[in-house]
Amino acid sequence: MPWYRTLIAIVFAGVLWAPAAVLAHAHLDRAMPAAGSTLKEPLKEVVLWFTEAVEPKFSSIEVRDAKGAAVHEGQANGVSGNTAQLRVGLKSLTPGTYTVKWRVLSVDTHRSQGDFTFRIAP
Amino acid sequence: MEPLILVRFVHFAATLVAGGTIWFALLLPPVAAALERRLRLLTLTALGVAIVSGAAWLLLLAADILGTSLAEALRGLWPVVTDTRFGQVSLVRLAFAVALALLVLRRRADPVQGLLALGLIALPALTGHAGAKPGAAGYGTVAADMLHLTAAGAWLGGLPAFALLLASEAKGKDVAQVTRRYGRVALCAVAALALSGLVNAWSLLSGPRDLIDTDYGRLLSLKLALFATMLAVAAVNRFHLTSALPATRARRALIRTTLSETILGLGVVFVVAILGTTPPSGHAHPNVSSIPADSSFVHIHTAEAMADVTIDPGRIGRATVTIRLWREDMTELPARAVRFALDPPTNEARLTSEHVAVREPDGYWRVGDVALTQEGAWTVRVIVTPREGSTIVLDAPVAIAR
Repeated sequence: MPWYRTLIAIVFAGVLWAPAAVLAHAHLDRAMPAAGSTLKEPLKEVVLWFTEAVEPKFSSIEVRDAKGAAVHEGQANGVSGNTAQLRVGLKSLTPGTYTVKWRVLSVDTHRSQGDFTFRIAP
Repeated sequence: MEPLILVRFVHFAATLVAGGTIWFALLLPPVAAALERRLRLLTLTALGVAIVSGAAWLLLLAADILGTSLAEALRGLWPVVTDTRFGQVSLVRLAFAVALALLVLRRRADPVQGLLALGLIALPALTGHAGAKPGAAGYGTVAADMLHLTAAGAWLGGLPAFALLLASEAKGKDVAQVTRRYGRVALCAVAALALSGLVNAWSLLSGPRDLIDTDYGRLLSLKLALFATMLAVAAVNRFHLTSALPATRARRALIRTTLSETILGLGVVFVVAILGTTPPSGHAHPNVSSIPADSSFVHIHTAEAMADVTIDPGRIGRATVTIRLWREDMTELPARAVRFALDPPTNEARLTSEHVAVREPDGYWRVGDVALTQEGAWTVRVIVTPREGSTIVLDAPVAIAR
């Protein structure tokens, strides 16, 4: 029956404008240290809070100094009791600017990444 | 078109039909062997398609996570299966699907099959947008999502089986009886879909305006429009045709309307396949009470741009504000100028301050000296004049401490 074809055509017109890209989901909600902040004392870890639950085994946090050397210790770990939180330990930090680069896989299977800097005052 | 969308669509459709056909079969009185065979064949075919498309989905996902080709992803598949929630849920659902296939081969529909079908249909809620919501709020949205999927399976999933019944040699009065039963199931399913849909929309959208303003919202509007059309067709079925059964004309008309409902239903599933790959538009802003003691930070997200705003220190006094601008694909948003405004909690227009931000070499926009005169929920406004396109205004509440 011809009207079925019309209905199918209308309903599946969506194929033509379906988005071509899959976009990121988990975004950085909060960070400790805060993005762009200046600290007076060095800290022992970086803690990130995301807007969605993340998979720790497929997420990473890298902290590097101004010369690009890694100052984080080991892998990023989940925090028990909060599926949207990750933390990574830090080596002893000297005054300077540091860059935090994070890549996460959210539990609903999407990847996202970002970075920010913080400073430790002399 | 993104292959992931196609695979998701096929998988969802097959899963709903596999489960829905089993549940529909549970409504049937003893029927002719021919019809029963056809229903079991439908179930087995749907299960087969669900298994293959599910495996394809997992493989595409692994390739995306590991950043490799499909062939290499096959080798790295096991850690993805064991170390991600999606992998674990897929494994459990695969086991259910295989168990179901073996049972369906050997016997007619029974409650054990019905339960396995429930697991197959409802478990994906754990790895959708609702499932990724952290904390206790996530339990509510997952429960709503599971109800949503179950209702979709009961109604949408049963439509092909219903069409098979109508087209079969089954006796008129049996058809009338099952149609009335199925009609009642569909009614409950519609109520459940509406209720659970509302719960999910409330948590995934930032407000009703998203339905027009954002990609996610517009897709949701399309889903709602298709659903409403299905309802209209189903209403014709219920109030017009069902009561005219078991007349042959009514039965034939019912086949046609059922097929329309099925096509519309497939459209809904297709939109869902796209929705799952689109970021939800409602970006939960942090709870006012949980901002870190020193700096106040807020992430603002709209379809056009995102901003990370840090106010350091986030308490009464003078503060420095740092703003980072992004596009939705995480690249920096090039802007010609950025202004930053702060509206105080008491809403007195003359206390609003507006500043010009300066772009630093590291890509941050900085505002040097901002006066915070009270504690409470201020509103930050980032007014961006991008290099291309019209002005973008991003606003959000931010907590300022004493």
